[in-house]
Amino acid sequence: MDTHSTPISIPGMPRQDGPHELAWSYILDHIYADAFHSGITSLRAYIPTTEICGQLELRSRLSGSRQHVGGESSAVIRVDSFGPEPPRDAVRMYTIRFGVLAPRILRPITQPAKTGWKLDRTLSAFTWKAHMFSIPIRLAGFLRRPDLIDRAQTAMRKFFITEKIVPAFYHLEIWNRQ
Amino acid sequence: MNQASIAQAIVNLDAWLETTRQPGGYGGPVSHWWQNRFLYTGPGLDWRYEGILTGYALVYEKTGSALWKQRLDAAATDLIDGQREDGSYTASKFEINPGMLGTPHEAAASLGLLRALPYLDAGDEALRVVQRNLQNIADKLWDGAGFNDRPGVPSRVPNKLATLARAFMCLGEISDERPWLMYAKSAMDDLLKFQVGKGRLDGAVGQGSPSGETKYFPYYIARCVPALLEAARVFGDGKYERSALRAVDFLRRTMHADGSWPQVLYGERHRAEWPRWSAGVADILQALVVVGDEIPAAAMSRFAGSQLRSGGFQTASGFGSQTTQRLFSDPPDFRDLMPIVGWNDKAFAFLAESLAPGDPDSLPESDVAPVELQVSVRSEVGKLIEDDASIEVVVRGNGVYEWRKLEPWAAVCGEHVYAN
Repeated sequence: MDTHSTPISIPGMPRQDGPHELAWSYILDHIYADAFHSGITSLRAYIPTTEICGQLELRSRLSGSRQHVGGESSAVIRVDSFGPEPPRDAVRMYTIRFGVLAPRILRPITQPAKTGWKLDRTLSAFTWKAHMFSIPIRLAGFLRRPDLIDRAQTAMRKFFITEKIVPAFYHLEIWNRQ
Repeated sequence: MNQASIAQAIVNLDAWLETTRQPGGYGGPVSHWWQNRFLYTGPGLDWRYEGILTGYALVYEKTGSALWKQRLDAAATDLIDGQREDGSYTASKFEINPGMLGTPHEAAASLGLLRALPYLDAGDEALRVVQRNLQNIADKLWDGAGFNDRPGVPSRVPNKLATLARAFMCLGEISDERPWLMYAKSAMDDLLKFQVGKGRLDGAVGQGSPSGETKYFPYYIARCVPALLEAARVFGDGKYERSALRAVDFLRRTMHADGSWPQVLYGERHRAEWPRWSAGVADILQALVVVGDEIPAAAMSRFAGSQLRSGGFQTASGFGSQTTQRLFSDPPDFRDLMPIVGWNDKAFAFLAESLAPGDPDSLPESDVAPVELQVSVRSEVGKLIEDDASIEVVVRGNGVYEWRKLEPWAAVCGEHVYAN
């Protein structure tokens, strides 16, 4: 699978560590797993930070190349509306949006209509429930109970990402060309 | 285990490992204490290669059979072909895959390659690969005084220092191109700072900062033992051997009557009992062996009994209790029973160490079979079904997980599987 990445500048983009690093890794895993099983052979990506571009390159390399009936098939990865419109030959679009838990500066005022596309699946990452676990984690730290910190972090992982649309920092939308 | 059962276990595990091979290497999902990866199922050039290469080298040494040499050459080729320009290995981060510069994973893979070196067709190339890999690790993680766990982030992790030191010591005895032995000694001396000197935790090696860290993982402590013994030999200093003996003494004291070990001790008062490793417990057993101790019968029995009919060893018991730390679920959590290559390599290496020398035809034929096991997925009961081609988890007739073993991404991965 080929991936052509174009870094784009997004003001206010959080640093790639901690929960943001985890969220992006889950999101990219979902994109590449979907692309692999959808028969996508090339991806065009408009992505913030060269570090995330490196993650795409790695997953692209690990996805190998598949022979599909029907030949070449392309898709695009975008963050909100940053980057150009998807090319006509793209059959699948992966849109990463900043949700209500992201700072205002990251969230566009309006979302353009996605004419000609049908929403197939969604994912919410770094959800509000995961955020809420910071309370018991901090409390356990205050009580000097590293065992409880670990248990809270384990519990938090169950809520970190979901297929439901819930308040979250990130959302992944997977669209099919109609 | 008697020799006949060891031999059978080896060939069955080999048969299972072969089913996990895909272009680029040994693949599959990962379950771990820290986090799990079920979507990415492609090759991981991580610590699984330590046990795989060590195990096949040992079995080849002991039998001389061409089959084991083929396995050895194939595994070595995975690392040779999978090395990136900077010397790192592709997808070396195990439970955080895909990613590079995995610790201790890349050092462990290189250590496996060094172990296999005398038998490889591409021995010279493999040595160059190891040198580039360890040079890259040194360039990125050495801070002038010791080795960090991440570039630029002050951190020392004892079990990772141990694996790194083993690779440096092994390479340092072959080549003096770089100060490999100085690096190794630095790593081992840093490790010693984390060992508890008295009290109920005497001998335990802590994870984290030296000044008051409270986490002690029996599994990771066991991984320090071979390095300590090696350091005693290489540097001619008895302090390392004394440290190894105290660490093993701690391991003996923390073993449960059923032959299992808790996951974490937090100081003297609190513990995380679950999950308890099954395949990975082989490293603890090996730590006992290398200091000349007997393996407790209960521990050996529990280990041997955790091999599935498919040939792979189950990963653990008690993943379903990781949050509550109460009695584990019945049936077992799917993560307990799903065999993982990067834990099975430890079982393989341990079995290979335990095997007596024999002739090329001394090992039996494998007798593996597909499995269908009852499992829990969160609070629901389902089935884990494995054969040569795939691993599936089905709940109420619906597939919630499917890994087709030749593919690098799971075909089905429901929320209750990947969000764990």
